[in-house]
Amino acid sequence: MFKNYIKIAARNLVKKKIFSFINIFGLAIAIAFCILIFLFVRDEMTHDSFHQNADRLYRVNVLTKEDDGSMEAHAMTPPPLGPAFKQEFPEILHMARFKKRGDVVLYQGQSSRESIALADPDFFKMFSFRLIKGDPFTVLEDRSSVVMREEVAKRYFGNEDPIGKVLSIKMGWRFYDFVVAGIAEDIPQNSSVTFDFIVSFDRVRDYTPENLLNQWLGLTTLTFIELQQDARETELENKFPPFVQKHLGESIKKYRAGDMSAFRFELQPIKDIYLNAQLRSSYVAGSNPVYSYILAGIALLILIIAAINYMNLAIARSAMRLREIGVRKVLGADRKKLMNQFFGESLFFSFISLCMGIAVAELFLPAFNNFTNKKLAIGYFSDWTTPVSIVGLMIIVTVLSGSYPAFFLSGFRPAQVLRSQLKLGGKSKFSQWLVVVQFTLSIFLIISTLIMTRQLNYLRNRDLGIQGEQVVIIPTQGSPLGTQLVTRFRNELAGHGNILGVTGSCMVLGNDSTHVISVVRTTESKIMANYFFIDQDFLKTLDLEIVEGRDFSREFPSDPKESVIVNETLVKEMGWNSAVGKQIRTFMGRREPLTIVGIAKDFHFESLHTQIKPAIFYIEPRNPAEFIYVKISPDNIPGSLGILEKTWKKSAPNFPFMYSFLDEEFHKLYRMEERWQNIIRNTSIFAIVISCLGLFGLSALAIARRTKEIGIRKVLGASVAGITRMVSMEFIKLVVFANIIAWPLGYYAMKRWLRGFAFRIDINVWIFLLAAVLAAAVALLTVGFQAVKAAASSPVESLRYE
Amino acid sequence: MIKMKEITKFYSSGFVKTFVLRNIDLDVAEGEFLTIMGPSGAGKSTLLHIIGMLDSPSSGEYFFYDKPVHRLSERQLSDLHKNHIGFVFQSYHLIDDLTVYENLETPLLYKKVKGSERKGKIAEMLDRFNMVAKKDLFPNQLSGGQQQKVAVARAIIINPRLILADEPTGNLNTKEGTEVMDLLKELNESGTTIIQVTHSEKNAEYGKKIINLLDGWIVEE
Repeated sequence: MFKNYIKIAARNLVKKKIFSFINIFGLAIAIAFCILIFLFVRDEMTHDSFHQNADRLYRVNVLTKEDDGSMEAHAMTPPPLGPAFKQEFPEILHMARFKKRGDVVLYQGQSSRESIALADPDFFKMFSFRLIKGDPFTVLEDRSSVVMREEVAKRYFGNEDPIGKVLSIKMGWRFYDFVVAGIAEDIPQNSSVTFDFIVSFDRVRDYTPENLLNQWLGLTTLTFIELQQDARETELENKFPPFVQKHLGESIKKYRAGDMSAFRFELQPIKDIYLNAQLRSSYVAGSNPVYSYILAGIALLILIIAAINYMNLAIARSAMRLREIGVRKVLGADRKKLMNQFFGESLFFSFISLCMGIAVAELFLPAFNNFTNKKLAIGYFSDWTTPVSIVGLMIIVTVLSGSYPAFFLSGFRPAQVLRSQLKLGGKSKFSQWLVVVQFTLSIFLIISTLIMTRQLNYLRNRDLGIQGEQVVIIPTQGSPLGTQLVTRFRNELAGHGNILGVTGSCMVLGNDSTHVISVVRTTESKIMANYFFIDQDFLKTLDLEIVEGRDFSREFPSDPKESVIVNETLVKEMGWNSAVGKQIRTFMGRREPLTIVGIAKDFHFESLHTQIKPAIFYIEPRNPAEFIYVKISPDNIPGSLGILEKTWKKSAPNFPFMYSFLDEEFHKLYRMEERWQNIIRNTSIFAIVISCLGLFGLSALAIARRTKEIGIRKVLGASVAGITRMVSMEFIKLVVFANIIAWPLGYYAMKRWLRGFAFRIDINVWIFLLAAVLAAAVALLTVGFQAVKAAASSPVESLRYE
Repeated sequence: MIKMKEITKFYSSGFVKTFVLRNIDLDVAEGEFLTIMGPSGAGKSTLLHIIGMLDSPSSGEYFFYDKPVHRLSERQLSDLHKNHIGFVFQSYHLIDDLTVYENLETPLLYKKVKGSERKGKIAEMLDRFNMVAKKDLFPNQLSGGQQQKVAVARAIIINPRLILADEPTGNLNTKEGTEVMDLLKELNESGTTIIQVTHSEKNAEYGKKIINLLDGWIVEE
């Protein structure tokens, strides 16, 4: 019996090639979409779960009380915490501290900047990072060992055996020799903890003074623990307060007036780290579960649109199948059997669409990976979730698309259908509503795309108040020359016409991981501000305006150490009218206050998500400049870069030449938004395409249904234009109606999205009109083409077959 | 075999009731060959559909082999169809997507007849109607007469006790029409009850009893 159904479905498919194609193609695209989103969401949700001991692995977080009473969570912990934990708590089986720093690796005369991780010896016992070579239990116990990731080792040594080779790695100010003792397998895509090189944590002594290593107030390293089999997280956490009292009691009394709630430790399961990454400085580019929900929602939307198409077309096509239904009932088919037949057909289509969808998904996977910055793959049998989901998807599609025809069409009485007393064919209320839903979604997406694009352009082009295009930033990478490099550059490049200015700073504007936020005090009040350590030429070089007072200058030898410049916002927050001459204290515990000598006009040093914050500019001679800023003219940029590279190589031959452009730093801030804008834009294209496919099919059927009527009208004198209008109206009015629903939805959604930006565009009416016009135009094209064809055909043809 | 009492059928649109059949009383014994005649719109096809359980009356009672059809479930009705009733339509109503062979197979599939048995019955039918060479053709590749022959074959392949024929020769030429009617006569002679609806006097002569319908009433002969 089933074979019979398949035969009919297959023959139907071939007979109505266009409709079949529309159905299958639409569904396939939707399925491909769902597959990609599924891979994304699964990756997001299973981060760090591949570790064998994942359920017993935790990261220790620190919670500190802020000035306003709220608790701020930090992923970083004090260095002595780890060993103290392991010693004092028997519940802890293993402990590993982990930190990363960027520095230079030298091998066979080539130097490059790499990320060097430091970890305690328990690291490889706790985490499931498999070692291809080397013994995980001992490899980090030797101070001079280094473990490399497989891919990185290949880069350095090609096909040679890396074990035993010697690398020269700079730790702090000096280079040290390390022997390669282990090679780690490449790290899975969804790991929060990543590394290229690992050395023993003990090496931290190479660049950190002893007293800093033992103090409990600096939050400088990650600490991971593995609990014993029978230990419980909450029981252990209960033991923390006395621990805090023991090790931090003194400091809390001194700095926090004895408030014991100001400092707390907390355990976070490793599987939760990725999606709850709003912690400060955790090395992890965390993510937000919201993204997964939104993407899953979008995938579902697209699937629904495609399934709606199938339903619509199946219903409309049923006009031709009513007779068959009637006959089958006469021949003894009851309703259940007919429903089985229809579900069987939709299963058949779903299966074909599924295969096609998988193929499309594979095709787009590389681009998708590029886009989401992941390395996803459809591992068909890698774990049980994939095949189950694929089969599940097929079943969902089958049910969604086959249910209406199965239930509705199988309920007819034979007499009704055999006498063709029922007229189906696209005019049913249900079909019309389905079209409205599709176009509502499409228009909603178009509106979102338009608004997001405008906001992004606004962000990118808004005058940030500083000149960014041609400022090159060169990190000094801890070269011992430090600030001298800036001077050297300035002197060497003084003559070059295209070099317009050289200055230095400890911060990169726009990159808040380099920013320092701390307190600025006066005798009456204190506020938090962004500190920028710069030199005398900084504000000048970047064309930043001074609105009151003066800029730093070498003519005032007291400027370093005694003078500061603040921005307008800081003045406002302090509640001052004018600030020049006022005195403030910084967080650096100096005895004498500093004097404000100038006020800088506000400019954006962070993303436009936030309002401009208070900022203070200070020349601190003890802090060596970490970044050289060079302003170059827009002519011959490659030439200028060449000169910079030469100058660098002369001054710091052991260090690789690296640079970036200041405006790129700002653009990076909007990468997430760019991604989302891309997603929404592509989705809206999909949605429109699928909706139009559906509309195409429906209108073809509707026109076929009205062939006789069109012929008669022509005989009576109707014009081609008139008929086209009449036929198209049936559908265009649905699209217009869809706008009514889509506009408020779009407005509300976009208003919420824009709230995330302190600086945003206004939502204009014309955006909605544009979306409406776009949708209507596309629909008109789809329907109109066929309408014109039908209207232009000779009445003789349409009236020939009664 | 068939007992109908005060069968009435009307369609209502708004407040207006359009009566198609009024107070029909009908008894049909097994083995009869009954012809229902009347002008267009008299309700002949409707009556046939009700007899064949393809439609239900608005009021009245209908007993088929003493079973109260007006009270049976859909499941039970389709059981009756499968096993006892064969239908022949004026416009054949073959399934266009299936071959002749498959069209003949369909009622057997619904009856859950086993594979080898099916093959046998179909082969027999094809042979009887001289259609063996055409078994893999599709309906739109056959002439009207051939299609109707397939339809008749389909109707009788389940060995029904009752055959209902709605203008079986309406779309056929004289020769083809005669062929089909001869077939029906043959079946009747071997015990099958036949009820036909027709305009043609000639066709009516094949039967033994004639009923005339006019405006929904029986005007008996």
